[in-house]
Amino acid sequence: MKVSVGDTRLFVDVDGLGLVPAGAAMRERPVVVLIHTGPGADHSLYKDHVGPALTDIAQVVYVDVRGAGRSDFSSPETWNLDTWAADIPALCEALELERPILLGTAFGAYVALLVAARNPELVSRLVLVSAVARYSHTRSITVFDRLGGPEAGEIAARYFADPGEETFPDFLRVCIPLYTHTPLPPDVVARTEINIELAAHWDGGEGYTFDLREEAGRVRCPTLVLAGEDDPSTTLAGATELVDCMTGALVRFEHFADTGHGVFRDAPHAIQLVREFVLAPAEEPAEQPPA
Amino acid sequence: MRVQVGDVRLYVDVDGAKYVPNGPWLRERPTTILLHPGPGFDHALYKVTAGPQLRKAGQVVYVDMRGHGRSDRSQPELLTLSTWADDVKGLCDVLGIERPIVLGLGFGAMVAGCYAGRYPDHPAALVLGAPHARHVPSRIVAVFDRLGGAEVGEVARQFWADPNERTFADYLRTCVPHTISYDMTAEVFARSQWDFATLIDWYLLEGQTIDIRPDLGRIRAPTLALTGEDDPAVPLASAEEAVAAMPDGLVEFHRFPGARHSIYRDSTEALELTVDFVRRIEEREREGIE
Repeated sequence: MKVSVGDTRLFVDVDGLGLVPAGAAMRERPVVVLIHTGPGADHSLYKDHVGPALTDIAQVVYVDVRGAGRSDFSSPETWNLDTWAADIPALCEALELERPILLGTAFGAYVALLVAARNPELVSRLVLVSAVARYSHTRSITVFDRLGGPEAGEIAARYFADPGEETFPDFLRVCIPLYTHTPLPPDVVARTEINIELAAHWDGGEGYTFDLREEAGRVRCPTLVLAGEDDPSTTLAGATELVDCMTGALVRFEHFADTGHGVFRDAPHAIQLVREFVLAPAEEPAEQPPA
Repeated sequence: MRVQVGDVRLYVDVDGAKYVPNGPWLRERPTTILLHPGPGFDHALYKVTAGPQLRKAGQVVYVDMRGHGRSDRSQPELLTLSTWADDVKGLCDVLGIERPIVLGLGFGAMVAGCYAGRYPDHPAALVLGAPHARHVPSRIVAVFDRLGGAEVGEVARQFWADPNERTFADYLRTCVPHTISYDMTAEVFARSQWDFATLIDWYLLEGQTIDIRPDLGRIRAPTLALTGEDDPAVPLASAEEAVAAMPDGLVEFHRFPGARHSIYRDSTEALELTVDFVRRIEEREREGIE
């Protein structure tokens, strides 16, 4: 499906019923909107594991963000967090998705967080996977050092200082494989429609400069934060900083040993936490957020 | 979810991904839009039997037509086959659904046929369960006579002669148990949000006089037609008449002895044929692309 949202059209796929027969009535199930990482990647990553693990309990809505995958290319001047975060509520309005749960990974988590911070009446819950409040080269290099030795740290440092054709091959060879312990299956990579222009646009700009610390404090909905302790990109230190900023929400923070970027590849059991979070009764007594 | 189609919001539910992992590719699967029986019922009927089976072969889109279920009400004069048919096309435009397979049962088949006649190049295929171009009360009464006796036939005759709340209440009580082969109390009435008034209004507006044979004659999409030989709501002669109105060589027509209006309940073969048809259409569409 492709849905008009403002000045662009977003690709959407849906799996799992919103209303299911339950005895003599129809029962409404939660809607989970999955926002992919990247942003140069697309929704297909979630078709591999997260989405199919949720369709029996929720209606899963996959979306390719503006510029990504099967969505319209739109125009690079609109490729920014403000626009991406405005597109999601507009999509929810077009499809009349009421009180969805948003799940995002890395870039997708930043978008999800901004949507929740700016539209508290819309988002019922938030799942942030491999999310940080801001990007730190130093933190990243520290983890590369630990995982791949000083050489990996050096190569990462060189790439971060001067991202380009000179430094990228070594980064690709030495550092990218350190993102997860379990390699990404080649088929999963091949299925992803990559917009290199968009990836470069993000990595060379907002990807390094964004800072969500203030807006994170405005999130009011229950939030599940999942982090990998061996994630060299969105580090545990970065995730901890994010959680510390989320002073207005009830946050459950879980981090996983021997687990890299994206969490679920190395820690498939983490999806169980997401399922419990999605199924938790809506009227759960809200604990007082920490002062 | 509900989407804006023209002047109304239509309730839509979706099951089964459009794109599924297939080795190094995402495979595109067909979209089947289910048009519910009625008028007056809603999509809930399909949530058992047809929908769960079809989801194995592609993406399934359930919709409550305007004036039905969880969709917006509409001005009574817009509750016509042509509006409902245009809404199908409008829904596809809004959701970016291209080359859908459109499946309808009974009244839904009438809307599907009307839509496919108005937009001959739009659907990839049609599945028409209990297809009919018009209502012929004498045929309907004759089947009720045969299945339930003259008393049942007489109640049907009175409803068709004068559709109103009283004659419809009698029809429900006396005739519907012969129309559908299972106990429908729980599933049809409780689960569906259904609306008597829509039904009666439509019969008074155009249901008694409508004849969509000209629309059926303009269809260009391959069609699977299925009908129960003991369906009093759509007698065999009416189904045959509808199929005959469609262009030669387009329709694969199957009739099921003993099956009533609840065709997918009464015949697992009908359901298997439908799933198989959707798979064949997917192959055909792919060959068309390559």
